[in-house]
Amino acid sequence: MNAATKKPDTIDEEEFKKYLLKPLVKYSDMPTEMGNDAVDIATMAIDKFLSTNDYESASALIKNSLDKKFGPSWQCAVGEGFGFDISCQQKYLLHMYYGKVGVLCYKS
Amino acid sequence: MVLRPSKSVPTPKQNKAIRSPSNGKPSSSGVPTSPVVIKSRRKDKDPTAASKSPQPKTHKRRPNSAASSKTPKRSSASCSDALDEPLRRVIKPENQLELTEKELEEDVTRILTGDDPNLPQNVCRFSFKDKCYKPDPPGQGDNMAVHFSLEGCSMHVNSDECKKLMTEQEAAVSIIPDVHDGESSDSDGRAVAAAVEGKADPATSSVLSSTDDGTKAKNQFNFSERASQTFNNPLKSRAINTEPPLVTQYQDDVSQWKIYDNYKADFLINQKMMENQGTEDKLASMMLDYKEPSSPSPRSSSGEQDSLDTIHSETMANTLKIMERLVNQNAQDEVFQDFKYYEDEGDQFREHGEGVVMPLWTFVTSRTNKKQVTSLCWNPRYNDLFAVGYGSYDYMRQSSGMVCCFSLKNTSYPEYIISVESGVMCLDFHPRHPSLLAVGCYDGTVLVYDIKNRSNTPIYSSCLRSGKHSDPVWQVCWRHSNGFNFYSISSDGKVANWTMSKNELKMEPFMFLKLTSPADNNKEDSSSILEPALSGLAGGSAFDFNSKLDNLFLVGTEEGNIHACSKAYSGQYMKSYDGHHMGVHAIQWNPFHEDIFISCSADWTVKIWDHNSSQCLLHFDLGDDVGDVCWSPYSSTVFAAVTTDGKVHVFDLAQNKREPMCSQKVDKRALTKAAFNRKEFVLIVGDDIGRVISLKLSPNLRRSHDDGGEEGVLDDEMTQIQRDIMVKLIASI
Repeated sequence: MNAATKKPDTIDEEEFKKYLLKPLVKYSDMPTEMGNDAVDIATMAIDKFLSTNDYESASALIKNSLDKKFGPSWQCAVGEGFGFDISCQQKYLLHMYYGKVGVLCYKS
Repeated sequence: MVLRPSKSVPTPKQNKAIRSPSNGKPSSSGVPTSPVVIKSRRKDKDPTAASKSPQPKTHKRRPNSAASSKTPKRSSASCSDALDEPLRRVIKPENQLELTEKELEEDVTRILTGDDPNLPQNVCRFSFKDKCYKPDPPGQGDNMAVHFSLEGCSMHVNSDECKKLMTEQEAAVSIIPDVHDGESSDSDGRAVAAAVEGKADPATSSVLSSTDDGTKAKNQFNFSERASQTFNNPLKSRAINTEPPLVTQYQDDVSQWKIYDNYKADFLINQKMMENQGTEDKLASMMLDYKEPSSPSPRSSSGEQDSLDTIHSETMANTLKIMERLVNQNAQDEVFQDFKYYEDEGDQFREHGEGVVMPLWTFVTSRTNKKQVTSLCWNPRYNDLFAVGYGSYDYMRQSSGMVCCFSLKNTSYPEYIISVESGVMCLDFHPRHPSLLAVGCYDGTVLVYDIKNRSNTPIYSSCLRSGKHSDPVWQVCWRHSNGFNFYSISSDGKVANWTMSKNELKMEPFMFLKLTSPADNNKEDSSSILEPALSGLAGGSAFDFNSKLDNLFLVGTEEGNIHACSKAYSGQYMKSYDGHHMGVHAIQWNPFHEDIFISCSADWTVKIWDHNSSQCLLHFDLGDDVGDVCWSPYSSTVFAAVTTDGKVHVFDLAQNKREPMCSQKVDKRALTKAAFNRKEFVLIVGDDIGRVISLKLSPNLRRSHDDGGEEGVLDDEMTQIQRDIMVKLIASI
């Protein structure tokens, strides 16, 4: 066990950097298919605006795409650091990380 | 100040007439409470007479009319024409004084003052200025009483409105009307442009409508306006509130270190999983390495084959079979409980020891629902297995037949299904080889199936070359428990013995059923034999071999005769019985007493015989065509019969020699066959639409009447006991 736990620590660096480029879903109560779609939409939007660090446009794009795909009244927050306490519709919540950005999407 | 109480609109002429007398008086104001007030001279009979010139005739007719008030009244006749000039009639008031000529000539001087005698003089009003009540004498305006007022509908000719109206009319009529201006505006506010020549209607004071000769003016007085309102539908309000979507609370925060930690934790988990998978892969590869050298061994290769075709493998089939039975048992748990444990407690209270049969399962398959059940046979080794033959008794409706083997362990679907070209009429399991099944068909063929093979092709089949029945085979029966030969009986009058040789089924007809007439029975046996012409053969329909006397067997015919025959003397009957009036459907030796047999027939009767006597011992009329009868395997005195009215009759002769212990309708259709299970107290009956119903016998129906009926009694002893019971019974008849 010790060897096993130490091992990744040593391997870390490069692998981990690669790993950071993938989206990580922190919490989601969406059905699988919808969740995958939402993650795709979010990553695509952030990729688009990451170079300019234009999180507002990214969140607007995510919100609009989600509205179009899953019906209206989505809320989206994108940022490097924020806190929230929300009440939202069940099965319409996604909290994920993508690189250094946290994304929160939910349907109010 | 209005001078006239008349309700009619005063024309300009009338006005003049009124004004003229009033001009002579110092004060023209007065209270017009009475018509007298207006008159200044009595001589003046009617001051307004001049104005009434249009209708002098009316006055002539009424010379006494001195009334100044003239009420234009519409008679009913004039009502019909609304546009006619209103008719005038002078009506005297009731309280008018009747005056003589002299009195009328007399001058009466009256001064009219502006004071109203009815006006109160001592009115006090509260003065807020002085804060006390002060007398308020009637002032200037208080004397005025308005009796009539009319809003003028005229307008000034020079006004814009009038001009506009004029132009409109011009446009409409295209004639420029003459308009008098200036002086025409009267102090009374009377008509402006009214007086156009040729217009005779004084009542029409309309301003502009009379300007043109062509257009007829609207009669203002006969104008009526009507309105109606439609029914208002009652309003209804309804509200619906949808259920709000479910809401959850969620709080978290995002920060760089949190993101990092989360990624790291997930990464570590991922790593571990990868590692585990890696070791597994390694293990698998090691195993493969280990296996490789031993792969040529036959065991592993067969294993490989098995794994290739797991779904169609034999083990899978077995497993599925067990699963099917499990599912079936779960689904029909209640019926299984009944089958195993239910005892009808009502039996204790029934008066004459009657019993009931309880339906358990109904065995049906969709492929046989148009066919009739023609035969039933329990498997001699497996007590839960029975074979059902499907065919048709109807000559006109022959089609392919079928044999289905059902098991009580799987009541929803047959274990084995065999399709047969012709309708199956009879079948029998081999007593020692439970998979061997002999089948007789409507077209006269007999077949032997090995049901283990699960194929539709029989292992033996009769053909024309080796011998064949030419009519339906009504019964087949394996004879020698050790050998492979069986007997069959057919409508063509032959009883045949079939031997399974290596290649084929050999037929050996050893009995021709000769026709006998009932009269012949009384003569000597030898003389009763007719010529053995084939056409004169009796159609056999049922037979049974005696268990004790190997050679002895009984034959029932379609003519209703029953004959005892011996294998040793195939040429003639050993004995003939009185038999039935119609075709014999079934015949069976008693399993415990070798002399007793039972027969049933289409003549509605079941008969019990002693084979030494040509007269029957007992006979029962069941009220309908009896399809089948069979002795019970547990008691020498119990038998069951089924009839075409769907009833099952169970008799116990030890209890009642005349009436059935149970006569119960179990099916709407005709019942054709019945068979007792050897071990369980279950009776199966088949009907004419391919259903087989299993019936559980209630305790009263399964009494074996052996007093020392303990377990462990040897079969022989039991047989002996049962035989004794039967002997007693016979003696008592």
